[in-house]
Amino acid sequence: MNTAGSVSKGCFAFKGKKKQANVDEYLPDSKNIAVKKCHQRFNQMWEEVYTQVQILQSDFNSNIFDELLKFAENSHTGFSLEGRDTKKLLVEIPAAALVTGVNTPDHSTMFANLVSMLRERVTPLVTILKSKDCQNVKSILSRTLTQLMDSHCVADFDDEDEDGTAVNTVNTKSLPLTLSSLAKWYRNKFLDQPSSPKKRKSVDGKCFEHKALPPVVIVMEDFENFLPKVVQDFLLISSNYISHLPLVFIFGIATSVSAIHRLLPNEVSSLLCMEKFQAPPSTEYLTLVINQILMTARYPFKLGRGVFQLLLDIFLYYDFSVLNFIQALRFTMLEHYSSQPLSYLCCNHDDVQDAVKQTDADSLERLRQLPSFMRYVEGCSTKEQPDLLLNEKFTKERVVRLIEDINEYHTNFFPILSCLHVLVGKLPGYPLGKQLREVYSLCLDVNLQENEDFKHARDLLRMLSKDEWKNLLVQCIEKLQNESQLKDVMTELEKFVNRIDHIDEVVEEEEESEQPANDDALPYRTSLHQLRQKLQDMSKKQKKLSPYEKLRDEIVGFYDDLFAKHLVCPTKLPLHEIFYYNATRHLKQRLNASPRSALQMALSNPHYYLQCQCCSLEKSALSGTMPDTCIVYKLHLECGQLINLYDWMQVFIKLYDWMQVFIKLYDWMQVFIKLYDWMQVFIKLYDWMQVFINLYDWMQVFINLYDWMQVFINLYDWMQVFINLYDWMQVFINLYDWMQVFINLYDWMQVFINLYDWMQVFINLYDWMQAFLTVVQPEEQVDVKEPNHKMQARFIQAVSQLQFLGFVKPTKRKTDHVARLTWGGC
Amino acid sequence: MTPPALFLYGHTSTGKSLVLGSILKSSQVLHVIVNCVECYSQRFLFEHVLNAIRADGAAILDTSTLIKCDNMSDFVRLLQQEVVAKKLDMQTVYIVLDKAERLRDMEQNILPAFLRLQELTGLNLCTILVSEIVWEKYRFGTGFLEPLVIQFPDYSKDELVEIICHDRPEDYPEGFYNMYVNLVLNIFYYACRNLKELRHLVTLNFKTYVQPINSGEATMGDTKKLWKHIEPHLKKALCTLYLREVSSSQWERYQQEIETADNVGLQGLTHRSHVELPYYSKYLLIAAYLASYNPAKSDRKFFAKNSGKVNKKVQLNQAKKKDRTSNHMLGPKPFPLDRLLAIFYSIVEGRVAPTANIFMQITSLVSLHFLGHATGEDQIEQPKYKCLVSLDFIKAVSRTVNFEVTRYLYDFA
Repeated sequence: MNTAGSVSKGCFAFKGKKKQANVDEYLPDSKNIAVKKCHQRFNQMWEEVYTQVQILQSDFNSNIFDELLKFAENSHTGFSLEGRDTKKLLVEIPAAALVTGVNTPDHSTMFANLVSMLRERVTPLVTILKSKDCQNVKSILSRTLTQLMDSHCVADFDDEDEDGTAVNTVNTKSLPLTLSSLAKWYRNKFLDQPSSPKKRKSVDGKCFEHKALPPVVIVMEDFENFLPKVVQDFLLISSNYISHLPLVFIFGIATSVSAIHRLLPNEVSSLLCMEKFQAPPSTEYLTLVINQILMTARYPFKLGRGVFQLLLDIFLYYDFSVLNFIQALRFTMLEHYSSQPLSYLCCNHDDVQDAVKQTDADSLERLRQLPSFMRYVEGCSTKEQPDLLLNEKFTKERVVRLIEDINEYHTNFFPILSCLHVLVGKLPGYPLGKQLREVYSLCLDVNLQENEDFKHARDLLRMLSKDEWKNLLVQCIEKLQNESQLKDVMTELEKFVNRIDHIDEVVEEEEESEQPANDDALPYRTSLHQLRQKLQDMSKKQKKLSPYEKLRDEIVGFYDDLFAKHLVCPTKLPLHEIFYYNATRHLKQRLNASPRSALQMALSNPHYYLQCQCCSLEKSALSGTMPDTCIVYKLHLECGQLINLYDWMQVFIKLYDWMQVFIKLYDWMQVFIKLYDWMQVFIKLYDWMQVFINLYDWMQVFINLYDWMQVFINLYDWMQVFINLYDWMQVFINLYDWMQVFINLYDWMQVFINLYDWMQVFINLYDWMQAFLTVVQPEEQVDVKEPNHKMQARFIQAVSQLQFLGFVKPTKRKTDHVARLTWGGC
Repeated sequence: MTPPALFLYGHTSTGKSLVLGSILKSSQVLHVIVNCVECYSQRFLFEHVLNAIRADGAAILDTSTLIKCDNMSDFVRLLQQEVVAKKLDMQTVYIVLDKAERLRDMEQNILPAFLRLQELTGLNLCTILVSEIVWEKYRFGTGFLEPLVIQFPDYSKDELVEIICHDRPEDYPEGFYNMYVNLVLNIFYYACRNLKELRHLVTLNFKTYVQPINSGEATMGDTKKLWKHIEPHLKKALCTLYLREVSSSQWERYQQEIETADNVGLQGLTHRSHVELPYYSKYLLIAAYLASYNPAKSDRKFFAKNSGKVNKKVQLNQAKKKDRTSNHMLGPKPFPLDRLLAIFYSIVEGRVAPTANIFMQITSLVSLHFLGHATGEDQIEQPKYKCLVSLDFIKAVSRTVNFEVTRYLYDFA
């Protein structure tokens, strides 16, 4: 009874409850206490890192922000609403062009910081505009007005509570959206109410005046993306009100100042009085973050070489975004703490004792199985080894000591590393790289002494002049100034500097001692051979001559020892797994995902993602149990540029029908395999039979011996036995005939197996099936001319999925065809 | 009876608004000035006029008393009401529509109706249109009443000098300042006659002009010496005419920096458009440029490993090529995403996986306006782009990655 069915159908969207991610659901094993502990540790460590990041961020931009704030503050110093200053006819809108760099993901935080600073220090009247909200003049005006008036109205209510006077609240909704209403509102607000509590607070007169009429700051975050017409109109309108409203514009420009002229014609840009502010490049910020967070002993968590390089590459090659870098760092930390069950030991120095004390037997066992710890145990004396492996208390004490060693290693590592950077950073050709981070990444990988580049750098260091060396030494000393634990290194370096200063005095002494050696320079008469040898000897000797060179070698040797002692590759340290995260491949898949290859993988090898039993074939194989899309995808790989849909579908459907047949065949094959087993039995029997035939020959001999046997009456009994055996032999001969049959069957099976191999390759499915059908079941023809609708629908669905994924597209060149969009086979 | 409509026109900064405003003010007649740029819909235009007449200039914030009006007939009716209520029917009310050319973009009836407002309302009204373009450009549609046309001619050079001299700082004599303004005008007059721009330049450079006087090196009479001092600065300013990228205070700072660092002025210009990009973005941009300015047929020649034999036909074509206009004259052509990526993979060094980050970079290049969507942004299937950067820019970018872009460009290869 559908008499009163409505024509229209309603569809209502309900906003679901916002799901708060529950940590426990995501942890690999939330019941496990160790996992929980790791997660807590992660939260704690990240908290520390993140506060540091925020401090860095505010410090980093403070210079440029200070200038901007000053600009915003001073651009309207002489502003008054009372009347137009007749002298100042040239009215321009002050505008700051803030060139931010192309790292767009970072901008929103940067501007949020800027706006909050402006609100705090300069004026409550700040509005921030984004291009996506401002598609026409109306929306840009409404954005501006609502932000300015609303934010201030809220502030007003607080004031109202304080002094109890009623402030005329403006119903901003019903005002016409024009700047004139804003100007009137501004006038009412700041002129007609001369005594607001804010103004009274300020002490000196000038500040008072300024506070009375705060500038109206309009920040345009992504200036390039605004529609030119909208910005032009907005600026034209604003210029009309510049005498009523102290407007200040801040344009956030990602590329270069010329973007302004692309957007604004001269007519508009001449209304502006621009100042350019260049934000420092994000690479500097990154260096700061790396130096302060990764290359310091303060935070125990460290990145392995591969991961460090990966994060750097993503930054330098892709987006220049520090925000993304920090997020990646956070992800890496999370991965480390959740994948390494011992990572709760990766904590601040003070907590190490407690953390180790709380370690239970399981974790301790896991710790003992760490490869680095096992290596360490092998290196220990035989007396200690059993204790380290069995004695819980002893092991714990040793672990604490090892962790303390690592911490100490870190505190020494980084100052020495910066020394190394000082030494090699300016060498010609930069054998170890220009940046500190490059040197660091090198040290993470292998021991320095084994590195070819380092040897090269050392050779170059041996060629530096006296002044250069002195300069380097002084710089090194500066680097080590704050490190109290490296005092003796510093004093050693100071000694070197001293010796370089006084090298000239040493020279004289040395020269005297060298004099006699020079005396017997060249004998008057020698053979050519002798002369050559003499000269060679002398050249060898001269190399060792200069005292400065000796000192230089000594310094290089000193540094060499220093680096060998402190810049050990972290992977060589025991328990480094707890502090260093190095699963590069794993991380790459997550941070630098490549959707195309994932798609290809899913289509050609669904087993990889589905983890099902049925699809685990080799890459090019095809089976009916795969998802439809995979089958269609694989079939289309064998086609040319244009694919006939009908043919394609025939193959698809045939594959399915054949699959059914094949499954039956498979059952048959099972039978054959059983038969084959039987046959094996028979073959064994046959072997037996051979034995019996041999016995028969023997029997002949025995029959010849019958005469002899007469002598032995007992032998008659024996003969009876042999006759029985003969009967047996008859049976075996029958069996042999049977076996022939089975051997035929075996040949059949071979054919079948061959067919199966063919199917794997699938070169010509249809031919193959025809061949197969004629061989096996000539009477059971599959009706492919009229496939059923279900198969058709499945096929079409799979094709449209492929189209959606961008592998094929419909074409107009031929009806019933689709065009392939990719090249190559699978 | 006043004429129903006046039409004032003239170039920018020829004094239209100033003259009109001061006349209306000094004669103390009721007038409403509307800037048509502000009225993005007719409703605002009407309400602005009505409310201004009611308020008579005073600010009202009481939203309940604001008049609401959103069509022309209501406007005429309410206008009559207001004027009668205010007892203003004895004197003329002037409605000034600044930037009147915008009225043409509004509804068809607005412009004719405002021109005939006197006739429609039967009041003593006068509509004054102020515009930068001539009246002939307004004639479309019907129902116009020819307004009284008044032209504001451009200022002559002498007039310009006279006007600019009004900005003279107090402590310099008139003759001296006059001389300075003449100097500046001599250099800029052929490039720019915009009064606003000239005034900007004059005030901007005056400090440098008087610097020798302040430092005691010259007196006000040493015209030659002062000229020698200012001439290079003015020449430099000519390069950045109209750009307005620096305010006067920053300009001074720049001047000082340049003096101390002894930099060439040209460096500033190249620095203006310098942008630091991530490594792959650079290659993507280069690939986009190549895709935009090379014909798709030539890709094989530039990027395939074995470009095949050059048969006679091709050679003939290449001979013909010289007659054809260069692709750079025709501007960038749209190209599909596939082609961009194909070129990108063939020019970039090393193996690069087609990761999500690469695709994100393309989008961010679009948002930076280095690339532009050639088709609608909603087309997901096969997006097409255009490269929007200049040859100089791409040359600078490719220099940083040691890639010789001209070798791959069809016009130069």
